[in-house]
This record gives sequence, C-alpha cells and structure tokens, in this order.
Amino acid sequence: MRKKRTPWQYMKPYLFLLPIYLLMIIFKYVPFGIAIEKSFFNWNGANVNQFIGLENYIQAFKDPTFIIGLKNVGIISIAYIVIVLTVPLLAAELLYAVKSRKKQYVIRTAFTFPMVVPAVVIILLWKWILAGDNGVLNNFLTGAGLESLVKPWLGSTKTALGAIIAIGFPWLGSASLGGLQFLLYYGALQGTSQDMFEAAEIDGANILQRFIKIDIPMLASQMKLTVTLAIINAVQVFDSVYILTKGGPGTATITPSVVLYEQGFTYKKMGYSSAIGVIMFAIIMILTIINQMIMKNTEKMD
Amino acid sequence: MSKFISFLSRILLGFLLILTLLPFYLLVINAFKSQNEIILNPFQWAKSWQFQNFVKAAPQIIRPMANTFFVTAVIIIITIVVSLLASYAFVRYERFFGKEVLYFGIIALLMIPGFVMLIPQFVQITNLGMYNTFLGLILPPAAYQVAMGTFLTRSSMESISKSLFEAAEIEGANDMDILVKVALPLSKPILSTVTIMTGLNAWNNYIWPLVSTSGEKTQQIAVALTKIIVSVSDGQGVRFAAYIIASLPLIILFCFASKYFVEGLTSGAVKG
Repeated sequence: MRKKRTPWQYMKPYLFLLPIYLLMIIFKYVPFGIAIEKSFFNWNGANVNQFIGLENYIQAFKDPTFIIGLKNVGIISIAYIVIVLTVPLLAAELLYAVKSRKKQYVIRTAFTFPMVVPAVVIILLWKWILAGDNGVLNNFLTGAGLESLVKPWLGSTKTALGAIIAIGFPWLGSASLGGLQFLLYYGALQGTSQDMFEAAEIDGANILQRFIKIDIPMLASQMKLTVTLAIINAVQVFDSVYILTKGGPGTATITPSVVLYEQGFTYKKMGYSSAIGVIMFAIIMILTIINQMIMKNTEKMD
Repeated sequence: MSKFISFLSRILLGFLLILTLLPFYLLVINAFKSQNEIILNPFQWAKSWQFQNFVKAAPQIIRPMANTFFVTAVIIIITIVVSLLASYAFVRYERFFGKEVLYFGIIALLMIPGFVMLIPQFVQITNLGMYNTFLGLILPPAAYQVAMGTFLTRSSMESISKSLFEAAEIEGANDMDILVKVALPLSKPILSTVTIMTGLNAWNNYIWPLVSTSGEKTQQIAVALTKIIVSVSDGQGVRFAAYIIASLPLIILFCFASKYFVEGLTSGAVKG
C-alpha cells in the first residue's frame, strides 16, 4: 500500500519539531548569537551599544583579575582531573570486590543518597565545616591537640582555593565531582563478563596487574568522559566559589565565571562579560578536543 | 595474602563511606541543637532536642520550596512532551529534508556551556517582560532540558520495533494515537530517567534564579537557602533545619525510585 504524500504529510515531521526548535531558538541559539555579536561591543544591555572590535578581548587578557581567574581554573582543572581518575575509581573497584550482591546494592545506595541532596546544601554544609570560627574542622583539630593547624580555611589567601577544591571530600557524595563518576565506573565494571577477571586470576595475575592490564583499558571510555566533564565543570565552576568566597579573599579564588557574573550584573559591562563567556567557550572546546585526541592515541597504543 | 588484601579493601571502603556520610550526620544532629551545644562539640549526639529549630526554619523556606516545586514540575512536563514529539519525528519519519541537520541542531546545544549565554539570556527575558516571573525561570532551562531529553528519548525510541508502528497505522491510528498509545508506554523507562535528571537540575539550579529573579515572589530554593536569616539566640541549628527540609522532597523520592535516580544521574553524562 503506497500512499501518495500530500503536502500535509510532508509537513508533519517539521510540525513535531516545531516546539523544540521554538524553545531552543528563542532561549538558546539567539542568545548564543547575541553573546558572540556583543562580545565586540561596548554594551550595557540597554542604551550603550557601540562597536569596538576586539577591544573587549584585548582588555580581558590585560585584566589581572581575569588572568588570575584563568590560573585558578587551571589549578582547579588539574585537581578535578586527578580527583575523578582516583577516588571514584578506587571506590568502584572496592565495591566491585565485595562478594555479596546484596551488600553491593546497599553500599552503592548509601553512596548515591548524598547525590540527591541539593548541591547548595552541600556547599553550605562545607562552609560551616571549613569556617574559621566554630568550624567543624577547626573544632576537630583543637580536640585532637593540633591547635597549630587551626586556621580560617576559606578566609586565608593560602588555603582558600584548596578549601574550595576540597568541598565534598572524599567527593563521592557530590554528584558532579565523584558520585557520578563512581556510578559510571561501577556500572562499567558490573557490565563486563566475569570470565575476563577469572582468566586473569587463573593466569596468576595479581590485583595490580589485573587492574593495569584489564580494568584500565576497559574503563578507558568512562575515563575519557569523566576527564571531559571534569574540565567542563572546572572551567565553569561558579556555585561553590560564589557562595563560599565570592572570589576572595582578594582574588585568591577568583574564576572567569565569577568575573563574568560581576562584570555583567554588578558593573553592567555586558559586552565585556560576553567576551569572557566566549573565551570560556573556546577554552572548553579546545581542551575537549585535546582530551579526545590524547585519549584516542592511548587507545591505539594497546 | 589475598585475605589480607580483601580485609584491607573492606576497611578502606568503610572508611570512604563514613567520610562521605559524616557531613550529613553532622547536619542532622546539629539541626536539633542549640547554638551552645553546636559550638561545644558538633560531633556529639544532641542532648536537648530543639524541635523548634524546624518550626523557626519552615516559614523562611516553605514559599521558595513551593515556587521551586512549581517551576520543576512545569519544566519536567515541557521536557517530556516536547522531547516525545521531537523523538517521534525522527523515529517515525525515516527520511525528510534536513533530518540530520535538524538532529545535529539539537545535540549541538548540549555542547555549548551555559555561561556563554548567561548575559544575553538575561537581556532576552528582560526584553520579553519575563524578568522575575515564573515563565522566565522555566523557559530558558527547559530549552536546554528538551535537547537532552530528545537525545535520550530518541535513542530509546529507535529500539521499538517498526512493525508495532505499522500495525497501528494499518488499523487506522493517526500519529497522535500512535504517539500516545504505542510510543509513550514503551518509552516509560527512559522518560522516568529524563524526569529524574530534569527534576534534579531544576531543583538544584542556582545561577539562573540568582540572575533572573529578585525578591520573594518567585524566589527559588537554592537561592533562598543561601539567604536564611537566623537570630543570635536561634543559632545555626535553624539554618541546618532549613537545609534538611529543603532536601527532604528529593530524598523521599529517592527512597521510592533509587534505580531511576542512578540512571538519571549517569545518563545525563553519557552524551559524548
């Protein structure tokens, strides 16, 4: 039965796609285009609107605050990459080694539960843990006779950035940094056949050999994904920094996202702010591509 | 030797679990304490249970919670409906002009970091008269979620046997019948995942409510939590009580649907 296509029939798939495209165009693609366009303008979102070429970009790379922000994001990125490749992987391996299925399920659920607690609650909890006065950590250190280590963790230039990275330690409870990665690794381990591990055991491979020869290559695609996500999260990190320190003390924890927010909304330099957004976009794209290339090469090496 | 290693690995796993749960233990017990007790020893079990901490916290966050609940629910409904419609177009119509380009236009959105669009998006909703309105809180995040939702729903819907659609068509069902009676029921698992993922994102959203609203009328929970006011005599316990109340809806949901939570949390990441 071959039906002749009426114009109505021909239009149908487009009608089904109309809602999604209306939403995306009005609220995402048009703003994206505006962001790129206005990054070349001196723009306050209203009456000031003047084309200035590359001036915003030049200004950004001359702005010491922005440069320190880039440096901080570099440090945060490296820290996040190290974190997502270690603790969640370790936790997944340890859980996978638990013999009883039921125990595995219970422990996994216990690890997953903190991930549904709103991220802001976790950040605010850690604000209290790391507080200088009456903070939990300082209280613990005093109790343990380590008064010399007591300090305002978020208020000191030396420790503030480290403290922000440490939020959620050991990070398995925070969805974006450890929890999600733990679930990905654990899911991948569960999904592989037991035979491979058994064969390795028969061949007399010890745990470390098995881990290097079998587990790591097997988890390569998950690792690639977690590293990519770690970079994207690090470059855009905002909530924790803004809630905990607003970029301070001084510029100790400033990030491009906080610069973008403050320049755009506090000082109404929206053209400049848009340029910072575009730079962030470019950085994420470049790092993602580099990451894909490095990971592809390691896959070839096997 | 291997016994020793397995013993050691159990200890280590237990240690990681305790460290992960410790902050939540601290949160719960200190929510019931007076300020003096909190300062004295945050680790200790509460002695005099201060239930009034919760009574004092509730009025400050009930309204933002109701606001957030409404926004989250509408974003979920929009995401489900729009993703289903779009997925149906890609699955049921094998070829139409621009199909691949139109699909790419959807998944490409997932690659643009939200921060790039923050400023123009703010200007956009201001120009549309949506500043400090529920529409302004709902539509821009929904525009991202529908792209994610379509990406996930389409790949799941592709696995539905084509003969099912054809059988329905021969029996005279129109597109809407097929969508509601065939595609929707068979897509339920992925839609549960999409619902949880969208819900978590909406409930957790901080930056967008921060820039697109002001005052209490539309205030969202993530912003409200950072602005809890406590008197010196009340102490931090009231603040902690507020954190617990704000976390409860998702935790209760998690108890009933932990399987979907695990999928909702992970499938959002697996897009590359």
